[in-house]
Amino acid sequence: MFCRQQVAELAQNEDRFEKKDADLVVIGSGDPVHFKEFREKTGYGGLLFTDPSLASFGAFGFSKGLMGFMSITSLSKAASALKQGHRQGSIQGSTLQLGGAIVVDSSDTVRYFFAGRKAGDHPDVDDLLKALDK
Amino acid sequence: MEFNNLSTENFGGMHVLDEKGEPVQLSSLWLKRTAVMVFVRHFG
Repeated sequence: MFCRQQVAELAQNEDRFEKKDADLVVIGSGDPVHFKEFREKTGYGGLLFTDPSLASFGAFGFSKGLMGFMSITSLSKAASALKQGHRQGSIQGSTLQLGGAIVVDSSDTVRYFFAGRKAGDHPDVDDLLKALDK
Repeated sequence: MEFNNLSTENFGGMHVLDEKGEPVQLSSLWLKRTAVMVFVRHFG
């Protein structure tokens, strides 16, 4: 539910990234065969990739583990996600893997970095957009 | 991981898969313009 909610929010803001001359890229960890269904459920039409090996997730230190999977806070966020109609779909990819975000410009400069510490931790869309103003 | 420790030299050579399952080098994503890469837990 978290991922679908997160990507649906990104999908609603795709044009804001385009206006700042940046490419929004979503990277998951499931099989590419599920891309179509994922796009239909989230409304996301942008660049989409996957890393089933989780090598890139590991390189960025996106934490993985049961402690991160569920916490009191994430249970509360789960209730909120359900209220907004984002049910957990069939899970594709690693459920224990947490996500994050990184913004890199064409001069190889890292402008922003965020690593989720528990399920439901998302990079704020406005923070991602602010990173493009620097 | 600290923000300051991140260097594209360390991760730019890594690969992700496109919808055909073909590998794409991460650094190609920000070759022409800024890439905002969001890593999601899974395709749930």
